[in-house]
Formats: sequence, C-alpha cells, structure tokens
Amino acid sequence: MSISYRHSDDPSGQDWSQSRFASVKDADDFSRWKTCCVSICFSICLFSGQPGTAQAAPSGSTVDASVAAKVSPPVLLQQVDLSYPDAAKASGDHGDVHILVDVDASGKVISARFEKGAAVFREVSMETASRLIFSPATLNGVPVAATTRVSFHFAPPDGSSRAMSDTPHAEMIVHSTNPDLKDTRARTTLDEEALEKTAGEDLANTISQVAGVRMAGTAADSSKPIIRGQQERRLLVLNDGVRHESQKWGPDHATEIDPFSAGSISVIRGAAGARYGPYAIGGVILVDPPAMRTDPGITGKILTSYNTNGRRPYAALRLDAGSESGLSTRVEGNAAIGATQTTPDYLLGNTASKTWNIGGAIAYDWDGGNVRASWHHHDFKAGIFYGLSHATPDEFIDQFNADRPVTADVWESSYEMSRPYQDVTHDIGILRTEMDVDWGSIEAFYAFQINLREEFEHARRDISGPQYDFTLRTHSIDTLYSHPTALLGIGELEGGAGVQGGFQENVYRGWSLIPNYRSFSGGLFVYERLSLQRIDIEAGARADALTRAAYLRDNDYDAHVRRGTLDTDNCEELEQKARCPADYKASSFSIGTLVHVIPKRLDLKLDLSTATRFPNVDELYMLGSAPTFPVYATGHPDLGTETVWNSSLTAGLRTDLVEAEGSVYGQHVNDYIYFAPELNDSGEPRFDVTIQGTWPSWGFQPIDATFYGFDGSVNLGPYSPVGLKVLGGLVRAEDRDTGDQLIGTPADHVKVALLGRIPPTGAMQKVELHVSSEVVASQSRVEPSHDFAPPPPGYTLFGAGIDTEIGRRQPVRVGVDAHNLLNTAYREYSSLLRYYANQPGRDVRVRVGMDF
Amino acid sequence: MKLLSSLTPLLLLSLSACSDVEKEEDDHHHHDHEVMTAVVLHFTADDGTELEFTWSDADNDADPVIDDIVLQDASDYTLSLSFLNELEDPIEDVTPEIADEDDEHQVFITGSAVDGPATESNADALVGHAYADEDVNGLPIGLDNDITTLGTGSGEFTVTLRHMPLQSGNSIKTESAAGDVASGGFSAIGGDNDVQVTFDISVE
Repeated sequence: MSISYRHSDDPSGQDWSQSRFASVKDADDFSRWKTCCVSICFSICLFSGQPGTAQAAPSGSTVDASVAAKVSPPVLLQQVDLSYPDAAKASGDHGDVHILVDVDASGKVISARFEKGAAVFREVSMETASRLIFSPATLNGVPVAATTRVSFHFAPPDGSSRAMSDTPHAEMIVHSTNPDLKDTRARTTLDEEALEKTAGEDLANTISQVAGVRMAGTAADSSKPIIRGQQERRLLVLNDGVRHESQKWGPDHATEIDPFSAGSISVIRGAAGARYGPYAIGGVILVDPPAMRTDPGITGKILTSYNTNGRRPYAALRLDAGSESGLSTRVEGNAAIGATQTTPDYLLGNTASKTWNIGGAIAYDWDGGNVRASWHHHDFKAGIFYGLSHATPDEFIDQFNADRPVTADVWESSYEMSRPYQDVTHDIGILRTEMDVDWGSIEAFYAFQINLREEFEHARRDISGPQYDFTLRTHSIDTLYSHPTALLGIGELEGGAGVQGGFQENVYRGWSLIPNYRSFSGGLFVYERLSLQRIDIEAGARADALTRAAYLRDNDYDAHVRRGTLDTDNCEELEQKARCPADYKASSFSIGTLVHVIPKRLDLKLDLSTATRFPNVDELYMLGSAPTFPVYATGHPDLGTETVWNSSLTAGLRTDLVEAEGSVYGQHVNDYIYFAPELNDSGEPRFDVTIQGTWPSWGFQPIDATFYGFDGSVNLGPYSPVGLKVLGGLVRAEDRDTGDQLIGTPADHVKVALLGRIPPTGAMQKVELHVSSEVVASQSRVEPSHDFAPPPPGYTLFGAGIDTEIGRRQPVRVGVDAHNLLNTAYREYSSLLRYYANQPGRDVRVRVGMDF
Repeated sequence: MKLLSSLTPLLLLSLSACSDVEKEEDDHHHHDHEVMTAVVLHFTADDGTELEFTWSDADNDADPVIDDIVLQDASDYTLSLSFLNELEDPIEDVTPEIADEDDEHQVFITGSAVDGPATESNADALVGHAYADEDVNGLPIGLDNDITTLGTGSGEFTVTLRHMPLQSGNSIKTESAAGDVASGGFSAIGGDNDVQVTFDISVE
C-alpha cells in the first residue's frame, strides 16, 4: 500500500514520488519491528529575510484520492529554528539537504542520517533534525515506527531567496515500505488488529488465516503450522529475531510461542535459507513484539475472550511505560483454561488444557542506539485425547470404522486432565542492542532458551512422575551489520552481513526417545539489495556449519546396530553409552527480483534460491514412541543434509477495488527426509513386535521429492460497504523416483468470506459483518498402502461473525465469531485425530479488547 | 549492567549443566515407569508338573525372544501370569501392582488355538480357557486361569493385558469385556494394551 501526499501548487517542481525513495530502510531487518515504514519528504524553508530562523512548512497537503487510508505518515508538530551556518556565509551557498529521520511509535526522533547535501550544512542539519517532534505514523490507527525524509533548504541571509518563503510549500510523498511488498518472496504480515481476532489461539491457529498455511495437530489447543506442505521442522520461527528452539518431533507439540506477545506476525512462504539459515527451507514465521513506548506515560492493552467449545475463558494484559530518560518497560501476561472439547456427537475425552504466559522487557534508548532485555515464560499443559492409542492393524481399522470412539459416552466435560498428558514450559531471555555508527548500523543480541517437555503416559496409580522428560537448552549470539544506503547513479544499494553462533544441548530423564546431544553451530551471511526505478534486485549468500555429538544409551546403540541403521565406525563406545559425533556444512544462495510493473499497483516477484538443512537428532536416532507420537519410529543415523532448490513467482495487485496476491512455486528437495511407514523388500509395510503389540514401523528415509503448487488471496472491495475475500492453496508433493504422492500433504482448500461494512454511527465506530465458507477437498492422492487408513472425505464448514468498535476516545473492540456454525461432523487430513475421532464441532467465540 | 549481571547466573547455570549430556543416563531407576519387558506363563498340571514359557524383550527395543508353548493333550492346567521389568536390577515383578489395581486391568486370552470367554466359539481350539480369579467388583482379572487341552496340533496363543483406567472418574472395565473382545476385537473395549504378546503353542 502506498500513499502519496502532494501539495496542490508545488513551487519546487521537485518530484519525490519515484520509487527510488521507496526503500529507505529495510524493514525486513532481522528483528526491528516495523509493520510498515513510511518515508516522507518534507521541505523546511529557511526564511531568507530572517536570518537564523526557519519554519517547518505546514503540511497543507492533499491526499491522493486513489489510495487507501489505512496508513498515515508522521506529521511534524513543532517548528524549529534552523541557522544558516557561519562557515557558509563567506561563499553564500544555497543548498538542499536530505536527512533520513527514524521516528518511533511515540513520534520521537530516534536517529537521523545525513543523506545528501553540501558538507557545510551537515552539522546544523543533523542537529536540527534530531530536535523535530512528530505525531507518529499510524497503521490502521495504531502508532508505528516510520522513517521520514526531511529536506532543508539553505539560503544565505541576503534576501535573494525571498520568494520561496512567501508561500510555505511542502510536499510529502509517502511510500510504504511494507515488508510484504518489499520482500521478493510471498510474504503476509498480520498486524495487531488481525492478531486480536484470534487472540487466545495458538500460533498455528493464528497464522492459518494466511493463504498457503494449514494446521496439523490433534485437539486440546495444540497445533502446528504447515506452510506449502512443509511441516514445522522445515519452518523457521523467529521470535523477536531469535530462532525458536524446542522439541519439534511430536505431531502435537505446539509451537511454544505466545501470539499475544507479538505486535505483528509475518509468514514467508518458501525457502529463505540464504537469509535465515538452514532451517528456513519451507518458510519463515517472524514473530515481532510491538514497539516499546518511548515517551513518558503508561499505555496498555487488555483482551478477553471466551470459546463455547471447551468452555474456554482467556484474558490478557499488557502494560507499557515510557519515561523522559529514554527508559521504557513492559510487562505482559495472559492465561486460558479449556475444558474437554466436543465434536458434534461426542466429547473428545481428556482434551482439557491450561496455558499461561508471562513476560517483560526493559529498554533504554539514547541518541543513535538502544539496548533491550526481555524475557518470556510459556507454560502449557494439555491432555492427550484418550483414543489416541496404539493398536494392531486390524484393531486400528475396526476403531477407525466405528461411529464413535469406544467409551466416548463415559466422559464428562471437565477442566481436569488425566494421563496421558503433556506439560511443557519454554523460557526465552534476550539481551540486545542496536547502534547507529558512522559506517552503518549494528544490531547484536544474545538469547538463552530452555524448553522443558514432560509427557505422562498411562501408569499405575502410585506413579506420579512423567515417563518422558527432556530439557533442551540453547544459547545463541547474532550480530548483524547494515551498511548505509548507498546512492548510486542508477539507484540505491542497501545491504549488510551477519554472523550467528549457537550452542545447544538436550538432556533426557526417563525414556531415551531422543538421546542426549550437544551441538555447536555457526553461520555467516551477506545480502545486498539494489533498488532501481522500476526494479529491485536482492541477492544473498550464506554458509553454515554444525558439529554435534549424540550420546546414545547402550541399548539404543545396540538396537540401531542390530537394525543395520548405524555404522559403528561413526561412533565411539563408552561405558554404557556410545558417542556419535557428526559434522555438517551447508551453503545457501538466493536471488530475488521485484518488478514494479505498474508502480503502486502491480508487482511481480521472482525468487530463486537454494538452501540446505541439517538432519535433526530425532530423525537420526529416534527409537520408540510417546503419548504424542503413537507409532513406532526409527531414526536413521546415517542421514545427511537435505537440499532444496526453490523458485516462486508472485504477483501482487493493489487497486481501490481489488487487492490480490497469487504465488506459484516449485521445489526440488534432494535427500528429503521423509517420515513414512517403512516398507519391506516386497513393498509391504513393516511391523515392529513390542510387548504392547505389533505396530507399524515408521522411519525417516531420504527420498528425492518435488513440491509444487499455488496459493493466493483476492480481496474484492477492501474499502467498500460490501466486500469479498477469497483465499486458498494447493500443494502437490511427490517422490520423484516412484511418482508416489507424499503422505501428510495438506488437502486443497479454499475459503470465501463475504463482508459487510456499516458506516460509523454514533458510538459505533466500526461494524463489520462476515459470513464465510471453507471448502477442503479430500486428500485422495496418496497410495492407500502407504497409510494406516483411507483419507477422510472433503468437507465444507460455515462461519459467521461481527467486529465492532464502540466509543470514540478509547474504543472498545467487541467481536463474535462462530466457527463450524452448522456443527458439521468432519475429519481433517492433516490432523492426527483423523484416525480416531471427528474434529471439534461448533465453537462460538466472544472477545472484547481495548487499548488504554 | 544490572541486566548483564542478572543474566550471568542463567548462563552459568546452563553451562554447568553441560555435564548432564555425557553423564550416566540409564535413568530408569530414578524415574517412574510402568515398564514391562517380559511375560511369564506358569502352567501347573494336575499331576504337579510345572512348565514355564517366557516372552521377553529384555532391552525393550522391539527385539523379543519368545518361547514356544508345549502342553500335553487331555490335561488340565492352572495358568498364572507374571509380568516382569527386566531393565531393573534385580528384575522387578510388576504383577503385584497389577493385582493392586485389578479393577482397572484384565487379561484376555485369544488366538487361533484358544476357546474361551474372549474368543468366539472355536471348534479347532487346542486349549480351553476360563478365568480363575476375581477383582474387587467380582469381575475376572486373568492373572490366574484354568487351561484345558482339547486336542493336538499347533496354533497361536495371545495374551493381552488391558489397562482400563477410570475416565472422568468412571470405571470402564465392564462385565461384558471378554464377550465384547470375542465379538468385536479389542477396539470394542476401552483402554490400552499394556501387554499384547503372541506365543506359538503346540499340544502333543
């Protein structure tokens, strides 16, 4: 989205509206939160008749009527004096000076960069720019940080420029550097307003409103995102710039991130390994906190919601305090408690859950830099649906064909959990600093994460502890450098480089499903972006290395040796264990092109990249099963890296009547680590004989895979009284050698929503109604013998809702949403629940939120 | 710098914990498990002859050693079951703990060689099975059983120990459990298999 403010009788004749000003600052920087950066051009005229003073020109501007009104730029509030420097008096130079000014969400100038102009005017311009006071830029009414270009005109105090002062002139050209538009990959950012609509839901639920994103999971509020058919282990989640680290191997290990702590969440679909490293080969989820408050005072946000299915209340509070000294603080927290969820016909026994999060941050801003320390604790406890159990193949099919899970009627709705259940905590502490230096800007941060996961199986009554217990500790250090934007003759060049280092260790108590390990990793990357008039080109390269030693319990080591999966030469046998070290290296490259086919209206993005992922420890050594993992899984210690070759072509259209984005993509993944039923030599599924019965054996196998598909969205009449939104996606994934479709690939889906917007009346600032329909096809392409049970049929769900804002000064936002309105019984292919029970039925959710 | 100093303990804590990775992690002794690695069938004939057959996956890694059951034709046996955890040293007998929670557990004997409460009428059966014990509610447990040989031949003898925990505080172990298994298989009753092992049996 872009806005142009243009003075009706611009005497300067200057045209700032070219796209070379569009990319003032890379808002896609690793961690800086900017939902939307705007660059503005101001002219502040020196009153030549009054030496030593200057006035900021009022912005008597007209808004380009063709543009949407969701973004508004910073507005200069206070005029300042500008002195004609003594040093220039001798020569009597005239001159324009351009300064880039970073304005934070409170309107305060946090940094200024000299961009262009005679050196003699530099000092006074920089000093003046730092004293400017703005009202902040806003996005959907929410103050946001923005970058503004300020222009000063200097004229000697001899009256020769008198004419210019008669008519204060100003021209503001605002170009959004919305990261979604700037990124050469398909990218969608959910701002705070969009996030509030899913407040209280987990991360996967929150981002499933983005085209191309599906969810995997069971019930009890634990789901995982799938982007373009790629599961979580191929998705990088960057929480405030830090790679989220947790036990990702279970199908209902929800991402341990609190969406309430985010000011925006961006989803990048497709490989982004050259920028973000080896784990970003399927996509990236950027979770960025809201900007800290930097002006004196206290603000806050309060949210509460209630879901009828699971009788689940949720409440959240955030408080931000700022002070004159540059010190700012934040505390935030939220909690939810859910009872047993229910399908249209029966309860999903033991699906109660409890979640709470607490966090805080303290920051200090000074001229040219800031330092921030933050900490978040996530706590999640959830029952595991009682029907999720092991069974022999015949029994499995019998229960699959039953109308309802056996003993479903015995369950009563309750907030209590019984075994099996999972109890998870995740803590993250970050210490970071950003500094502007003469030769660019530097950002550095250290993060510590600790993820505790306990799983409690059915056990005798006198047993109180967990059967699975893992502690994962991660330390990471990131340093990023951005060089100043270089103004070349043909355009602007921006870019930078970064170094990352990490240390991680896993310690189990209880069962050794995932062995102990210790790893060190390092990465180095560079990127440059050249912005020309109609075309932007971005290229990146990255090298990564990982060294890791796993410590296998002797029984597990022997089991791998006996199965022939482990080469004993690669391990060192110690007392009661074996140490198996491994080193990996990876390189990633990308080149992306963004073409402004029709500036501000139609963009084309082409992204070509390659990236390599290291195998995870569970893929190498897993041996067994867990409550959240009801198959017998065998890791393959000799797995190597997997390499993706990715291309995507994305078109974006933005007009008053329609906003649309569509993306086609294709990926070759060599040595793709595929988790699927293991087949014996005759192509039949293999079984493992355990004391609990005979189970199908699942393993991690390298195959050459191809993924391709399409996803996109169309928003008709985004600002009209009646609008229509359509989003959807399809993915095809196949084994290149056999031509078989890969198991677990989400089914084709499309969602259509009809919106009605009622003009504000009285206290009702906003009323938006919607009815929606989601159509999901059957995933019938997978070879039946590769799965336990046939895929569920397709389904159609209906929903409806209303969003309102009541009150003028501090509006209260009230929303009601009904999901699965008709209480349809259905099963979802990407949910583990599909083998055992229907998905939850109708859920009506009421939410109330306000800022204060 | 207060921030730095407050983070330092965290850093030290995590570094000092490094040694955990390499430390002895055969930690079953210190953790609560309900592990069973072996099933022992103890047959006693009328004449006092005792026979023992074992299904054992001593390392609990899906690599079992299984005895073949051999019984004499036209004989009556009592069959008592033991469940062992061989990962403990000394080996732990888990059977008393199952007996303590007999209202949540039941053993079912099925397989091609069996005719009993958990099988449909089986004309080719080599052995007949009957429960010889009762839980606190008067329902069968199956830790003690009567086995009668019915003819010579060979077949399969499957022992299933079903754990039927309370659901919302309600018992799901029912009087009809064995009959439900006979007619609908194990998917027809609630709970999970703690044990399901199959022996080859021959009656001579």
